[in-house]
Amino acid sequence: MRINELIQPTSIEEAYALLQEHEDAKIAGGTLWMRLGQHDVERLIVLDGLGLDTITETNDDISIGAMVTLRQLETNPIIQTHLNGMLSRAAGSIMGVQVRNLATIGGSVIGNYSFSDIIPVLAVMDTTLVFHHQGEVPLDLFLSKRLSEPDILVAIRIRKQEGRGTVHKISRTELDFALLNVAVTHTDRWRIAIGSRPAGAAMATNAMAHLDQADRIDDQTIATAVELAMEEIKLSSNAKASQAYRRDLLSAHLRRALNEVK
Amino acid sequence: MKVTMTINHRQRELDVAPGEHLLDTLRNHHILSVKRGCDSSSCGVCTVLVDMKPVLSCSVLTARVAGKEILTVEGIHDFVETLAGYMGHEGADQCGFCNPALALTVYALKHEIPHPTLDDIRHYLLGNLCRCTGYQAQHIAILKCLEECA
Repeated sequence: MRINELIQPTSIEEAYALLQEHEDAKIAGGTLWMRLGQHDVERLIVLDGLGLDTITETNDDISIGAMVTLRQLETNPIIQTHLNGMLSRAAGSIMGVQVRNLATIGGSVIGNYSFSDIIPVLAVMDTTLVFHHQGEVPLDLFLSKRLSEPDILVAIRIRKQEGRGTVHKISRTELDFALLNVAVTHTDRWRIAIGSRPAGAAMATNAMAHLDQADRIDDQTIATAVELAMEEIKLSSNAKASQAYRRDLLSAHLRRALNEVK
Repeated sequence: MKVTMTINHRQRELDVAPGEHLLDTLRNHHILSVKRGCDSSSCGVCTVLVDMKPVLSCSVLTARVAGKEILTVEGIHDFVETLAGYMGHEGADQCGFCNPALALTVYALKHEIPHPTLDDIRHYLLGNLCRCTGYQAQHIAILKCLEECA
């Protein structure tokens, strides 16, 4: 990959104007994946130094700047405590510390990679993406549609919730991509997201509804929820794992995850 | 484009291409302790410290580290000599190709987690692949070094 021009704007407004002006411009996150691509980049807009690398909280929300690195997510006390620190653990499970010091949450979300360990976790939290021009876009809407126009992700906003959460990343080695990701939260309702199917994260909506409507959560309720998830979540094969193996993983890890947070 | 940064405690002004990666910049300026391994963000042998954080120099655009402090093993000579003693004592050294990156990552670990456990060390060093040693002796050497030099 060649980069012909690197532009470091001094404000988000300037970056946005450049993005509108040049159809061939791209926004840089950590550029870890971009550099492995085959396509040259005519203009790369870098958002360093624009204050997008902080994590803040109010009484209601946690706001994560788009340029916050995975290592910051892993070590930040706010992220380490919210919903059992599941986002911190997911970030800390990705590659080595050298990668996590470069990769950004903004790049992870905008890339919408099917193997993402971050997106399933954000999907089971109450997550909104904050764009410079379009404003707030719910994560599920972003994942189901393409952006209608070029825009700049400035922050990821998570509504604070009381409850419990867990994430299971199943991979052959600690440095490898996930064979499957299972993320579960139990707040005022249940949320279940399955990632690396190997397609991108999908919500187990029937299983979630079953748990929400249950009078009590016992072994039978969980067994039924797992069955419903197995029916509704589409799994397939790739070079890393077969569909049958992924089904076995989903069955075992979803049951364990539900028991952890019930 | 011209960029200024501190490399091993010396301020340098360098002329770099917009898409040039720090690994190439450093090696082009004869800092050859920084190795080219996988060149695809996986193996860790190109690790350098940018403002004391370990990063893969193969994946960092040089222009993005303007104004920052870059450290390679040439900039932490005393620590490297101390660590080398512990590594030698444990028989944790073989071909040596990954040693500079390992030493830099341990140096960063020492500053980030002053009293690490063996698990902390294992987790922090996951991104430093070594084709020879099998890691166990390395980790014991590092634990002893950090305990005794704290």
